[in-house]
Amino acid sequence: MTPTIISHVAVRLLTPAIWTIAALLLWQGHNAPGGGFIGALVAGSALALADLVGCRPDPTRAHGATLAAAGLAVGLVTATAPLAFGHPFLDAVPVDIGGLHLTTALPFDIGVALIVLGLVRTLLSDLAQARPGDGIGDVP
Amino acid sequence: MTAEGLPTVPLGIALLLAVAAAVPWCARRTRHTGLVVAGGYVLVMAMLVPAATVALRGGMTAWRHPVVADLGLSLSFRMDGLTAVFAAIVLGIGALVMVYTGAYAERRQAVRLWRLLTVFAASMLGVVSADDVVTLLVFWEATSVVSFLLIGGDGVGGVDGARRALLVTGAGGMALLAGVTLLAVSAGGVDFATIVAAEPDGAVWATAAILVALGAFTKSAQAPFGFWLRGAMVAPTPVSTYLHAATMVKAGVFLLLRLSPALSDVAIWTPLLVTAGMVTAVLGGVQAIRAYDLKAVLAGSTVSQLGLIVATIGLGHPAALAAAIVHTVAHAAFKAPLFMAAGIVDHQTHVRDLTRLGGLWSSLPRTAVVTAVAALSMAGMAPLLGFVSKEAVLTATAHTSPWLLAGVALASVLTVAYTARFFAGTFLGGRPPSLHGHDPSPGLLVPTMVATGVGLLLGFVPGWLDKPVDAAMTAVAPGSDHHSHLALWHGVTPELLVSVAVVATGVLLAVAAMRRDRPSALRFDGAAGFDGLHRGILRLGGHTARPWLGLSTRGQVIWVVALAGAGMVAAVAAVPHGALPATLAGEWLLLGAVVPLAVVAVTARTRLAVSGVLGGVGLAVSVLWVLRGAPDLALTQIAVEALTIVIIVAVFRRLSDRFDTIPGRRVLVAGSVAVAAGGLVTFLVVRVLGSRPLSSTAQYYLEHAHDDTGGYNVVNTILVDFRALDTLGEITVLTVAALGVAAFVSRPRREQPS
Repeated sequence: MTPTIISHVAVRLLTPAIWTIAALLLWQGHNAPGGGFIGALVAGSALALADLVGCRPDPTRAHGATLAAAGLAVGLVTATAPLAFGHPFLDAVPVDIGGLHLTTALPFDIGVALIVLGLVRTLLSDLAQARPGDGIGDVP
Repeated sequence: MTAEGLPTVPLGIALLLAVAAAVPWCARRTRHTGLVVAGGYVLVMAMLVPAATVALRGGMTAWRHPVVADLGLSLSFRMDGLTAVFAAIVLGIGALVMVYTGAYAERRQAVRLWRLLTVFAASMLGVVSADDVVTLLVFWEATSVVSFLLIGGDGVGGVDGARRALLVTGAGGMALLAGVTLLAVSAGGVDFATIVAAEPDGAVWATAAILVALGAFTKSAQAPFGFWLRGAMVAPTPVSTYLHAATMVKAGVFLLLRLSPALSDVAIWTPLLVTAGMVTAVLGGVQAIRAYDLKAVLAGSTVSQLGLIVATIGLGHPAALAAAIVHTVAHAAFKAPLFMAAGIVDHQTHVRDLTRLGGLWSSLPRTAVVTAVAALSMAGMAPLLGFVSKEAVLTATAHTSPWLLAGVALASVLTVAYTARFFAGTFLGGRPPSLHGHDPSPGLLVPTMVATGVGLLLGFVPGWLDKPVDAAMTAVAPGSDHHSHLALWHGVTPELLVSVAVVATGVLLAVAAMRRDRPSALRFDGAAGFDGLHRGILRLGGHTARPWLGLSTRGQVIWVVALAGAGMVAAVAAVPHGALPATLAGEWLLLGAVVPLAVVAVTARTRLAVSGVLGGVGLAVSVLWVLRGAPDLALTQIAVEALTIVIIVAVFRRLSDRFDTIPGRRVLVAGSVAVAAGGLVTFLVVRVLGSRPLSSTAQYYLEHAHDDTGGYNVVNTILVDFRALDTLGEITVLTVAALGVAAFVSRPRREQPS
């Protein structure tokens, strides 16, 4: 689909809004509907929007595999860090920052979100790069 | 941490990992990275000295950090005599290999080797210092993974060997997991002290012994798992030197020694180890004598020597265990420099084939001298350490059975033979005119000389090993109060006479082998067998799948609906009826919306219409979740619907706008199957709904989510808190999937002429 002015502007307006909603869903996940998976999927729809409309991808953007690996690293660090403070493995340690009552479940959720984002990006980049003759869309 | 003093061993492991991480930074700043990395190893050795001193006096230091205290899981390390001996091998040879790598490989490959080899050293240190079976297993598997990366190299040519190694050692790791689980459950604890103190319990311990032995055999390349070692020779020489001479293959030996006090009383232990060990020793020797590639000779030799050590451990009595430990040290001391020498010959002359080598005595004189000394140690000649250890092995086995002695003698004859062939074929005789080379740089030669020098020195004063061996024996055979008296000269003993006969026979055999020197028609090659098995399994899968794959998509759907439907109906028939919950007013509205959408989906002519309608149906289902009080589910459904529709549209873009016309008969068949599937699902849902009240686990979560986790969203707290371990496993799978898709994305594509 060739990008037109309208689609460009629409994507420009919608993408930050979608990302904001996704971040909000991630943040409030512990106490209200939301969480890492959902936030990442919503953000993934922003990625899908940009790819569908035909916007050329930024060459410096992170590969899906890098995002996924980063997410897994965050998850593992969150799981093993409590060991250093005498807590058991994968313990959700409460942390109070300036009146906000958080636990280490939040960085774990962020790690989950990164992984889902990475997966969505790899899927979309394959479709975006698809060319005639590579077998996608062949009816058996 | 419960610690007696500073936890030097875990810190040492951490330091090695830090060194590995720092290698690229270091490589950008200095040309002597090899020396710096080697310095790191020496520093770790220094850190371990205080604990090692305690160990050498027969004591033990342990450190334990609880991971999940409720389950009794912790990260535990110890330093005792056995650990000290093996740690010295791991770190000492490691330092030499680091210097060697600097001179052997060009910059980019060297950086990769330094990093991975140091991570490997850290894992190996973890294996030898583990104080409980869980810690041991974690580091054991780490060595398998790192070895896969090292053998695989940059992915060109190393893939088969790496895959074989990983599959074989991975399978062994599974066996080991099963074995130690049996032991831990039976003994009532995971730490070695508990397991060693427990009473062996018949069949359970016999099974555990077999499984543990399997784990050790795969790692130490015993028959019939030895083939992976030869395939691993495609790796660069520093890798072969470190992994396949000094450390990884020694892990199996270490495991057998560590668990020997617990398992040596089990009836099957001795026959299993002795048989497997002796068979391997002879087979490995035969392979070494038949091989033409220098490294293949050394691989066969390693397998053979390890077989000898395994058999000796199997004997179980203190003299045998001590002999095994001494021979392990001696083997590391002569095998590492021999691998390094093979690497030097390869590096300088670019030839590794014995049929094309010869007469390098004049071109590489210093290399030749060093190789000669190391070779003499391998052949068991005085005054080298190899002689002392070989005598010890002979003494330990002589008193057991004459058959065993004959086996050891045969293995030793083969050893002398292939050693002589290795050395003479490379350095003696006439030099082929096309063969050029000169002595290598000090970076390559010095590590080789140091390793050989250790064997020479300890050969002259083997008494220096008495204390370490005694200390190791307190761990391996507690209560035996063994006193080692290693010496070069014990008088004219029967063992000495056997050694003399062995040497003479071996030299004759070598001369005969070298004179024959034609490629052998019969190659007993386990690697071909393994690859054949691998291909056979894949072919079997293909055959089994063929009837399925031959079906059209329609056919597959029909089969799935029929089989799955039948299965589910049978399962649900046993479920008691429940009361259906009342239907809400909003749900009737939804039904009114979904039915027309479904009709449109079935009758629409354009693909885009179908995609839109499918999305609409998905949204309606999401509204259903909201009505029923599951907002997280609804959000997930909407987001997944959106992405799925995007993917469907992206695929549909490539096809025509309209569907092809379908003949009437197919419509009838497809329609019937669809109606049947829909009816089936409706039946199942109606039967299952309301058949079971809220489970007690769900009750607990609903009541205590806020108290335990501080969150009100139970779904989310289950995901990231109560069942976080499950989530960790799931995201690992997702990451692997993402990596797989990414690899698929970067596949080479067929370009269509436009």
